[in-house]
Amino acid sequence: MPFQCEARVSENRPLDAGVHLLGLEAPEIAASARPGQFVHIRCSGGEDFRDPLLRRPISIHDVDGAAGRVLLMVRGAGRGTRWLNALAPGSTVNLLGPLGRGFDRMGGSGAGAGREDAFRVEATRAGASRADATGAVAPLVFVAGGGIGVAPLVFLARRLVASGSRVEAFVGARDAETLLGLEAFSSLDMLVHIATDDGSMGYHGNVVELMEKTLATPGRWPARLYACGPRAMLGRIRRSAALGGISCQVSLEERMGCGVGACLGCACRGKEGPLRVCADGPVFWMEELSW
Amino acid sequence: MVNGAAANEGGRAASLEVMLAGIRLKNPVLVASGTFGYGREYAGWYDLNRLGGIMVKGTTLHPRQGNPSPRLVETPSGILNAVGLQNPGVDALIDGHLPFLRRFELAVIANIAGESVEEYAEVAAKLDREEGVSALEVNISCPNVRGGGLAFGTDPATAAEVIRAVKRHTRLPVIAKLSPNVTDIVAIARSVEEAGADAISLINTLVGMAIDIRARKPILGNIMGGLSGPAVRPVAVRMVWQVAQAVKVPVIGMGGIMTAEDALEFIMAGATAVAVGTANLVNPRAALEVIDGLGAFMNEQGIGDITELIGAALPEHIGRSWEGYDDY
Repeated sequence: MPFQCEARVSENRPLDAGVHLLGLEAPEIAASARPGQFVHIRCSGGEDFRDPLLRRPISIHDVDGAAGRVLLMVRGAGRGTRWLNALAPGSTVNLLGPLGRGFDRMGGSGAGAGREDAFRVEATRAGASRADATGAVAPLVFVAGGGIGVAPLVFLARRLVASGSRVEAFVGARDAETLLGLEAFSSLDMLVHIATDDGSMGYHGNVVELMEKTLATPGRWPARLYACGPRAMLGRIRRSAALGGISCQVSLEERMGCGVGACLGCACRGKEGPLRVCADGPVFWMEELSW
Repeated sequence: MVNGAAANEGGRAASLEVMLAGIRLKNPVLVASGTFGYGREYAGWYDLNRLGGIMVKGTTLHPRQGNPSPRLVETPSGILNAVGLQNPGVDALIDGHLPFLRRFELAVIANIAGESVEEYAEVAAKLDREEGVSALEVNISCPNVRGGGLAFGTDPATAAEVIRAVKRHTRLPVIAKLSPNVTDIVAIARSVEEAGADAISLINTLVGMAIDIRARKPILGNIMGGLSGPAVRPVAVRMVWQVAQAVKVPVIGMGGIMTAEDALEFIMAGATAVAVGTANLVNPRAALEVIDGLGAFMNEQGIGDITELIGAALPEHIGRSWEGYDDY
């Protein structure tokens, strides 16, 4: 059940490249949000409430349940998001949330067993998991984000680590300046792979390419892949996941109206007809989509 | 406060009840077609019984997939949409959604669309047999569907033909939803009234367009879309005012209503009922706030019955006719 609330801005920290980290006091949302869900934010107030008119959907970057805070990573791309990034701590903003279908951290997509030899010819099969000292199996999970697409993956990684998964992050950006989420992933004590288009930090090239190289390493086959980023990146993720038979979920971005599934403004192409990004997603199994 | 009534200062309840084409509405506030789905999406936000009625998502004979994305783009104080009448078809409305809507005490107005006169008639006939439908709103004004919708609503004779065909296939009150994309709205309104329309909805969206200057191409997948929201409100109020004095059937006013004050403009322009549309997308509780705001306004003004306000700004009340004001 989603909530509507006036949330106080507790923090507004500019990161690089026009991206801000916003802390909002919204205890009900912080307590009930699941990774991959979003909040729908009114980006106007007072007498100017008619313009900009529509709310902006922003994925939940992280939550601090104890403090009742929701963290958002907002790229100032247009009027609405720039308005958000200009909010002073102490001011309030109207939120709906948590909305949408988040990442499915358990269950199966029916993608079946991995076909590791698609990427690796000689290596011995190391499996998607390894046993720890007690014999329990800790599944290996990859999260891959491009640009601002990293935003929802931090909350996801935190929950995955907490539930005992081994998580590795693949973070891509145009250059070192625009890389996001490194600090947060590192604080979760997980392996972070970095790729930049210009080679100014980490691997010189595409983040999916880097991930594919890792898949070719023995013992590094994930049980699940989660991705968020530009459509071109997700297209390539789709090919890798399909080739390797890796169960994969992606989070999509689309212009939204209502955010609750009523207006059909944010449709994407599904295998069996249009899907609503706001209500059927924003997280989809790769097999549900048709693109 | 109870449904349809606001406590007046003297303890007397201000009545919000109106009669619309034989349908008793506990208050004059409806939610506009296409902005509220089938009610399910909003049932969690408030008690739908508070609404005067719901105009459900436009329904066609067969399922429609709608237009490619992007389907929505924000413009100054408005939005352009090109959803393209995506809907699961009339049978899915009957089997999947009407049972849910029957649980509520509110007017359920089915919005119907078609690509031919026969298709409108067939959808009307199917819904005529269904319990829990209060009226049919005939969409002869959708700008986002080729070969249908808008094409029927921009010519008085064609508009009348659709209305006559629907009337022949239903006993339900028939509401004609008109397009503002015409030179003479009064001519179309008179024509559908003559064809038997029991009420008129004004307005559907205004055809518009937006261009991505970096990509050098239209933003919407459908290229053109329908403009709605506060940006269109003055156009809508004007059309309601013109039509309300030209026809005898009641008018339902819609177009950018965000607040009770906005709704009152339409009511004073002659609307018997109003519909909240785009505002639902921005604020799930918008219609509820309009209802509460109407009650508050009546209390403040000492008005006991909302029907006293219907048409308050029409020429007969303001002592000025419209003639002489139409050249500008």
